[in-house]
Amino acid sequence: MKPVIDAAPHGQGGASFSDDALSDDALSHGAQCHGAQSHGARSDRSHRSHNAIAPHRVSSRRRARLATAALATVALVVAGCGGSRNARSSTAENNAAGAGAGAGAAPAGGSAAGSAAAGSSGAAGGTQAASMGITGTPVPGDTLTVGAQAPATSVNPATVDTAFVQYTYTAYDSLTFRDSDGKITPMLAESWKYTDDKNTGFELKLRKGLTFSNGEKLDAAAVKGSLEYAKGAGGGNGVLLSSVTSITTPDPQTVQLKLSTPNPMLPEILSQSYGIGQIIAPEAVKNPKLLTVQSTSYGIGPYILDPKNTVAGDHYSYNANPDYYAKDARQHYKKIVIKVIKEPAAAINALTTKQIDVLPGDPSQLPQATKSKMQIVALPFVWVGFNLLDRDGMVSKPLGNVKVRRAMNFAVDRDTITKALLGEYGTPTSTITVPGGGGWSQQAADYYSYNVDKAKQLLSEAGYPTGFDLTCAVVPFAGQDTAGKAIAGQLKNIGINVTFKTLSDAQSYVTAMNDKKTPCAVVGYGAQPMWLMGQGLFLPTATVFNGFKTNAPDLVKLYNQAAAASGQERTTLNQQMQMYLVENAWFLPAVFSPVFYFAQPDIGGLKVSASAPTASLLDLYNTK
Amino acid sequence: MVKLLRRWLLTSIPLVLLVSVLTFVLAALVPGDAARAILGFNATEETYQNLRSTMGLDDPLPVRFWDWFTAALRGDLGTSITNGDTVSHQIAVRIGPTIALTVGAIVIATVVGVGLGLLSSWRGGWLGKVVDVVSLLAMAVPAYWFGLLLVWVLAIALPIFPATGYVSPGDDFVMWFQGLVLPWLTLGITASAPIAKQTRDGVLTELNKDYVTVLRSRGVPERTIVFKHVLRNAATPVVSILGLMFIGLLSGTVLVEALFVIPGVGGWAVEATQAHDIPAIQGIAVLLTLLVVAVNLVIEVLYGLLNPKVRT
Repeated sequence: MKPVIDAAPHGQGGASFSDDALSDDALSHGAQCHGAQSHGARSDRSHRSHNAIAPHRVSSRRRARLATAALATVALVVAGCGGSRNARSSTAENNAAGAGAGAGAAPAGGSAAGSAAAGSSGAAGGTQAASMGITGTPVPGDTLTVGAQAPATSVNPATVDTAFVQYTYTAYDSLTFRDSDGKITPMLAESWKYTDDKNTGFELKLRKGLTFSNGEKLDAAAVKGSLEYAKGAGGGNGVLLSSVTSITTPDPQTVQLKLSTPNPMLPEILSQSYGIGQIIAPEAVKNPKLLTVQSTSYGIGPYILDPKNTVAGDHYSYNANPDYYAKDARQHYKKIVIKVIKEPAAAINALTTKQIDVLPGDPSQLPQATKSKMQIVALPFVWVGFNLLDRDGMVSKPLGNVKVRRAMNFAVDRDTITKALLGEYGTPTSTITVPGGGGWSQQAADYYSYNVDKAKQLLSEAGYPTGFDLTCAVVPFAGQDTAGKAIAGQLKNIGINVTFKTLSDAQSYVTAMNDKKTPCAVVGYGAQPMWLMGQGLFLPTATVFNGFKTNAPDLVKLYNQAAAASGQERTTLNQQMQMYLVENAWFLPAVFSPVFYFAQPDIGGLKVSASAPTASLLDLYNTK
Repeated sequence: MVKLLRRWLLTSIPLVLLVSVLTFVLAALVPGDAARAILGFNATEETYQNLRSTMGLDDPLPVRFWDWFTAALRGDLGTSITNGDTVSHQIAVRIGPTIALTVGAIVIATVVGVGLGLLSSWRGGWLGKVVDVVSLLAMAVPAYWFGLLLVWVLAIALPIFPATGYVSPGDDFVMWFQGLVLPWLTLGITASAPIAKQTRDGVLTELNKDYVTVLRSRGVPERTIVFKHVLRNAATPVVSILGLMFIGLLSGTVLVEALFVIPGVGGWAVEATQAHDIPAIQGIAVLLTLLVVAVNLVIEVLYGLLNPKVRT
């Protein structure tokens, strides 16, 4: 996950999930939404300029906007996964008409989500909410200039952070490709399958006749070398391949992976969204020093990095690859330039004066984008709330009592907090999965309604009728602290006094969550497929966000069963896992924050969906 | 002049050394580290520790400094951990925009400031009062806000100049110039206020001195008195302010660089600091220190030109 304190909003880093075999986990993205680089950059956003007020905003927005801009940064930064409810998509005209124009924009709590969760085949089923701009016949374009809110931490696919994969997938095709509906489709691999019924054996068949930009041939040995390098290259996503025990190449077109533990998400993980599935030429695998901005790229991609016209940290230029094998599908321009514009006011100015074509943005830019008749695409994205870490009551005895944790969940008026923080662009939530995402169920979503009396009653039953004191770690970036205070304000109504331990940087925050001294932390976490959230959030082995290493055997059992299952069986198991987390109140989620995309009125193909919450640059094209 | 240069060198070398040591220590004291900044949150502890070790973050501070220092003496300032580029290359591409921005702003600040100051003091009356008020306003207005206003008026409402962006003068000189007009005005106008004030006060003081009366009694034209004698005598404190302002602008262009998306040193410094990118921070510190001492040298030379008494 990309923590809220991370600066790097944008995120072509999503990943999604929904190949036919794995369709129940329709949502995904940002499995490793991390990448805390330059966390301070987020803090800049707290003083961004707010130009005007969106004409269609609710009245409380003024107060909200300060928090909003920051909170939305969470959404952008956190390489979490998108949601679907309240999906919005509109051009300015549509906004004026008060109607969301997105294909499939679903009503709140709508059936789209429910049906997806009930096992329809995710995005492939076509029932999920999505948010999209215009479509049309692609016209060959000269240069596509895309705004980015942070520079790439790396242009090496094996080490690039999830939130920055746009800097690498432009030049490196991956084995599979997640399209804008979230469907996993062929790319360098023409087909793939699990070779056993436990998701521990996987086989890919490669396309024939492809060559890397340095002239080397694509074959199974090259893929094996690239994957093995990615596993150990030291990038944050290498861990996703940690269970791969061997890679064999029975013939030049076949790659077989053996895993020590079930991994139901390999088609997703090997897509463009995590970097590690993007295949690097053998020459650069042998000499990774070539994989920097001072050198060209070594992939098979629609574009090739142009180091002469790239200034690291400022702009990155990619020229069309003349030998690309799928020009019609993914090469609509002669050149792509990713322009880093950290200052939100400057970014929206650049967009409205046509200096850039597309911009992943935030709510502070909405008024100007609307006024300038830009396309606006947005989906809920990141849940923000409390991570109730000390579930065994090791340092906060009350928190060890499930009734107390439930009481806290009943005590929070999520609608009010959402309206205050994000206006109409936020989505209240009491679960950590967005509608349309794997594991979502109406039962879990409805479990906690706002009920102070019930909260007080539960606290009394737990032996804390007058409440107690609680310490929460928080980082003052991207609005997490504001959201934390809003929740704390509501908890005070039932006597729970929250004291915040404010930390200034990512490492201190990670340490605080793991030193078993701080029982609670404010988090912003991109919703993901349950398999990934298990690794990040709730398994005893979760790297960061289960700091007290709470071990619930029932939950682990469900997780392992789901990892080895497929289809409806896995959907059901995921829902049971989610229900376990909700019933046992492991978290106190409050709101889903959105990610925004703004684009020139004539750019086609901009689309995000519950299964693919970050837009792909390769989908974009000129319509005139 | 030789003496001046020798003195300059003798003070510059220890200064650069001291600044590099202090920067290194201060950067190391800031909580957090580059490994976590690179890896993000989901990386395992093992991956994190491995990267720390690879990057040499486990080594004692003096060892890390010595490694950096010896490499720097060989001309190797290291590689930025945030973007993988060499620090030397980053300096090479970023120093140009920053210098262009700063020098242009100083030119505007000087022309506008000295012009207004002179006009108000020489012509006096209501014009003087207006200049005073405008100077106060310009001092009070944040450059960032003024820049936003300029963009709104001259790039969005009236699309005369580009709202953002920087083009290398080698690629397209006209676009380079056009792209810098608004940043120059933003920094230059807001920086002109103290110069106007200083010029006005200096000229008024000089105009009341005896030698002006003597010159007038000799029938020397007023224009000659002002431009040849008064302004020259009033210029010394103005040059001091300009020097300080130049140094201030070098490190203070961050917001304007961000607003106009100029790939300069300021934004890079902020980014490097936030990411604990110590090679970059060190490179920037050394670069800025060298620039500061260079500016000081120029100021000393200018003092000498303006006032023979300080030529030693």
